[in-house]
Order: sequence, then structure tokens, then C-alpha cells
Amino acid sequence: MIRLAVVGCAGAAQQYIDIVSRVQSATFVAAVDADAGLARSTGAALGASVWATSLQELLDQHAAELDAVLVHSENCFHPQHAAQGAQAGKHLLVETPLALSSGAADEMIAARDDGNVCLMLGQADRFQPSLRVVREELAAGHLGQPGLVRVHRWEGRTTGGWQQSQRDVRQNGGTILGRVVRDIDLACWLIGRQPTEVFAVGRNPTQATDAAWDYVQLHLGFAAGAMALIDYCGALPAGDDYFSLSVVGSTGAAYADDHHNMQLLYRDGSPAALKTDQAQHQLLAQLQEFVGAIEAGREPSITATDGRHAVRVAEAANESIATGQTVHLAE
Amino acid sequence: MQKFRCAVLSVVKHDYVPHGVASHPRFELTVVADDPALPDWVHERNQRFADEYNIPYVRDVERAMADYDVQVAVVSSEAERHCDLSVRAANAGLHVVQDKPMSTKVSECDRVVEAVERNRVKFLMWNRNFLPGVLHVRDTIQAGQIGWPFAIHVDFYFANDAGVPKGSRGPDDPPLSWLNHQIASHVDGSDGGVGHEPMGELKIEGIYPLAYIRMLTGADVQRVFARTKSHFHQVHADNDVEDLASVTLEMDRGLVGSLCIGRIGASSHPDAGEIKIHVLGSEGGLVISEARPEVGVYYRGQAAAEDRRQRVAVDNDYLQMQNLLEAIETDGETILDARAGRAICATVQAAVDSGRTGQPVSTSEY
Repeated sequence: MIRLAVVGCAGAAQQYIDIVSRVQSATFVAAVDADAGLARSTGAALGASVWATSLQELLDQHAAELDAVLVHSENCFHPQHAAQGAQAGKHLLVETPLALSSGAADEMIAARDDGNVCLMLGQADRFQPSLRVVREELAAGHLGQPGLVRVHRWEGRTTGGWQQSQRDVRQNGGTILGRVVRDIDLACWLIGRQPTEVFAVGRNPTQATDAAWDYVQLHLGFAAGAMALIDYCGALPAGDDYFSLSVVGSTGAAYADDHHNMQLLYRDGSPAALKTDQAQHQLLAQLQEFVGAIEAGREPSITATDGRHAVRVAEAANESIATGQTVHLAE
Repeated sequence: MQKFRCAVLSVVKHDYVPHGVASHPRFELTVVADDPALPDWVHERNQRFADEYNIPYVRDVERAMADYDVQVAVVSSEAERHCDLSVRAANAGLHVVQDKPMSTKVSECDRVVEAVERNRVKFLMWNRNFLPGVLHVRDTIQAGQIGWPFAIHVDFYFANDAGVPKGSRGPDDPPLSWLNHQIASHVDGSDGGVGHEPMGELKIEGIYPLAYIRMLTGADVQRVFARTKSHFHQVHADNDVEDLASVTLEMDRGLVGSLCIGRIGASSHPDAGEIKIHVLGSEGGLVISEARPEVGVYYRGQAAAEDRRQRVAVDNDYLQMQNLLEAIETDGETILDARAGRAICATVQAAVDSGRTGQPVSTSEY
């Protein structure tokens, strides 16, 4: 039984509460957050008896009671928390982005090696049921060679909320490192290699003073000609997000598309479109993959190197926006 | 009311263009004409179309325009001859309806712009801007339902094949001839780029999505970045033209656009293809399937090539011709006039060049 501590109890970590009863071969033993009340309540909801206001405090007092740390803190703290965990010999699941710079990501990988622990990138999108089907069809060869990955991801602006904080440049890296990095990883995962060309455009159509982009378009070129085009908006009015991913291969195509999956609600005028939830399957599957990798002593399916690559591409995208030019990367 | 008599100046590419013209009661096809010194297959196609409408086929363009009291020319020749025929028609004082692409060369488009404006005739590039789904986008934006648009994207995947798959050619086989492929594939309608010069999907189909973007935003494209690839078909690979492309568009007023386009093959979609328009505005977003409204029809023994979902309420032909009619009668502009067609041709050329160089390219270079 793998004993888990969760660090950073706002946002994504709250979703563990929905799946805690379904987790196999692992149990939550501790919760950490600078907000003591949040740490205590989250821990209680997860069935954990220990809570702390810092990871170091937890490790100082309860290191022997846990095996692994789920890092869901603000992105700027990922390297620090990973280093503390690795030094204490704890396995690590670090939510994407791995770090806010490729240099910091390199240091995390070195800390992993020094501590001889498992370091997995937390990128739950890879475990989303619809995207797993796309990946499996690609892997089975049904779609041939991937030529194009097309992503539209639109999210709402929730001022002061967790999502808005994710786009904070200093704490979380801004729009590209904080949000678009997930889709960078998806594109690389589906195409099966790293891009060699990055071109990006950023806009702030709805508020000129925000340091993070409301809107980003990211264009990736891969060796052998494959391409990915990511359309990201973080400025929708409040409400459901929208996501669409298409993969066009040489012998087939797959469309994982909210538009196709919309349902209709008739009430008070025009029909409203509703999205049927894919529940928290992706979070549970990700956690089980992490636990399985620890138990088997194997490399997890999403490695720290994957996370480092995505961060490097995000850095290149920011550079492209700043210069208006294509940024070339070694594969 | 005056009925406009139309000369069909070559119909070797898409007979749907003159059919579309004839769908409007104020336009009648009067004569088919083409130049005399052309290959037999050109004359055969022209004659076949003339016979279908029981109108004469004249192997002399100027004589046909002079002798048949025509007011409109409908041009659907090989792509390389489009602009020359349009210029000759404009110089004869005829309004022009022209098939896509406007040209394979921007300089040819400039000749059309000059001739059309000097002769004060109307020019309509054939387009799909009046499809119900596209009009739905236009009307929603105009109603202010998403605020002012700042980003627009068209995914335009045609589920058509273009001959044998890439990788089919044996080591001793000669490269496939572009024109021969187009002639051979005319029967099943997969001859999207009839012409001597090989054309990638951006040149063959790019005008449709780029015309959507132009109509919906009213903005010119300033700079593009593109990735292009011969990904699906041997004929594209052999002729070094793309059948898959993704394009970032930087436009006037800070607007951002994109286009993903491909001739993705019949196996890659259950119907004619995946064609969607995404628009982001200051107050919301809009996702529209260009194919809708449609009806699903499935039955035992259904032919593989038959669309399982059939588009309905499509009035694009009539509405385009009504648009031309109104432009003629009010001295207004058509929905896709010569300057707009020229601008789109420049955007396409910039995308092709960007795809080859890996660098963003300004449309002002063309």
C-alpha cells in the first residue's frame, strides 16, 4: 500500500476527494497547504490523519509515515517541493508544468536521480478517456503516421479564482507555461516526438493590462513534416470550457470533440448546449499509473523528461511571441 | 426583367460552376466557348457540357462573346488559364464568374483586377460563403452575440482521395503526372486541381476557408506562418505539393486566425469531411459545423462513396448569383470580388512559401 501526501490543496487536489474511495493499492495519509484550515479539511475529506502547512514541516515530523508526494502547489514551488521530497526519498507526482524553466526542470531531474525516486509528470489530460482512445488508435496503427494535431481549448476567466491564478506569470508561469503547456505535451505525445519549430502569437483582446495572454495560438513543426496547431483562449465568460482535439493521420483521423458530444437542454427560450462529463476517470487513472510505477519499480508512462520537453517548448513559444519569429529547437 | 445571357468559357474543371449559374432564373447559359488549339480532352468536356444544355460549342472565345449577345462569362478552365480568360471577358465588357483558384500566380490576379476595374464590370470568385452554416456564423456575429471577434479558425478537411496513397510508387515507377492524374480522376470527382501546374491543397481549396474568414472579419491578412506536407497521396508527393497544411494568420486590427486544411482521404471521415468554424469574441465563442443542417441516411447496400449525412437547405448557388445580380444592378461589389480574390491568392502564396522556408511571411511581399 503506497502512502500518499498531497501538497497544495486548492484546485486540482480537491478532485482527489471525488475518487478517494476508488483508489487501489494506495491511501492518503497527509495533506499540506499554507492555509491550515484547507489542509485540515482536505486531509479529513481524503481520510488522512496528518496535515501540515509546509512540506518540510511534514517531512521533518512524519517522513516515515509516507512513501510519495503529490505536488499540486503553485507552479513556482514545484522545484522546491520536488527537491525536498526527493531528498527525503519520497516518490513524486508533480502536476504540469514540471517547472517554470527548463533549467529548473533539469535540477528536478537531477534531484530525482540523487534521491533514486520515481518522478512522474502529472498530466491528467493524457488519461482522459476520449484522448486515450485517440492515442490507442494511433498506437495500433489505424491512423497511420500522424500529420496534424489540432487543438482548440477555451477556458473561462474567473477573476481571483484558481484558474486565473494559474495564469499568473510569477507564480505559475503565465498563460503558456501555466495553461497551454498541457496541450504542448498532448501534441508531442500524440505525434511521438519533439518539435523543431515553434511559432506563436499572443493577444490580450479583453484586458490590456494583464501580463498573461488572454489568447495564444501556438504552431509546432516536427521533423518529418508533422505539425500541431493549438488555439487557446482563457477569456470566455464564466461557464463550461470547450475542448476539441483532432488527429489527422496518413490513413485515418480521430476527432475528440466537445462540439460533437454536446447535449441539449430546453428551458426558458433557446436550447442550451450541455457537455456530458467524463467524470474524474483521468485523475484516477493517472494516480493508479503513479502507484503502479512505484510498486513495479519502473519508469512511469509520463516522465520528468516529458515535462522538461514541454517546458522548453513553452519557453520557445514565449520567445517567439516576443520576437515575432520562428524559434528552432533541437529534437 | 432582363435575363443575363452567359458564355461558358471552358468547362473542363468544375461543371458545378456553370450549373450553379444556371440555377438562378435571371441567368441563362447561351454558349460554351474555348480556344481552338487545345487538347482533345478539353474539347470533349466542353462539347459534353454544351450538349447537356443543348447550346452550341464554339471553338473561338472572342467570336462567341461577340456573336451571342452575352453579358456574363463563366470561367472554369484549367487553373492556369483562368485569369487570361477572365481578362479577355472583362475586356469584352462581360461580367465574370470565375472558378477557383483565382490563379496559381498573384501577378495573374493583378491582371484581372486591372481589367475588371478598367472595364467597370463585376467579378465573382466562386465560393461557399452562402452555405447555411457560414451564414449562421455571419448572422450570429452581426447580432453581437459574441461581442467583437478577435480570433477565427477554420478546420477544413476534405475526405476525398486523390489517387493512390503516398508510398505506393515502386522504385522503378515514374513519378505520377499531375495533369494525367487530374484527367483520369475526373469521373469520380477527385480532380480538385485541374491544370498543368501541380497545386497543393492550399491553392486548390484554400480560397473557401480564407473567404469565410475574410467575410466574417472584414480583415486583410498581413502575415502568415505555415507548415505544409505531402502526407496522404502519391501524386502530391511526386509533384512536391502539399495535401496537408496548417496556417497561422496575423490580420488587421490584431485579429488572429488559423486554417488547417487537408485532402485527408475518404477513410478519414464518414462524410464529405470535417469542416468547422471557431470564432472567439470579446463576449463569447462560437463553434459551427459548416455541414449543418444535414440529414443522416443509412441503408443496407449503401455505396461506400455515398455520404451518410446529406446536407440540406443548401442555397449557395442561387445566393451567389443573386449577389452578382445585385452587384450588377446597383453597381455594388460582389461578396468575393477581384481584389478580395487577389488578396486570398497572396495569402495562399505566402503560406506556401512559409511552409517551404519555416519562417513567417508577409503578404505585402506579393
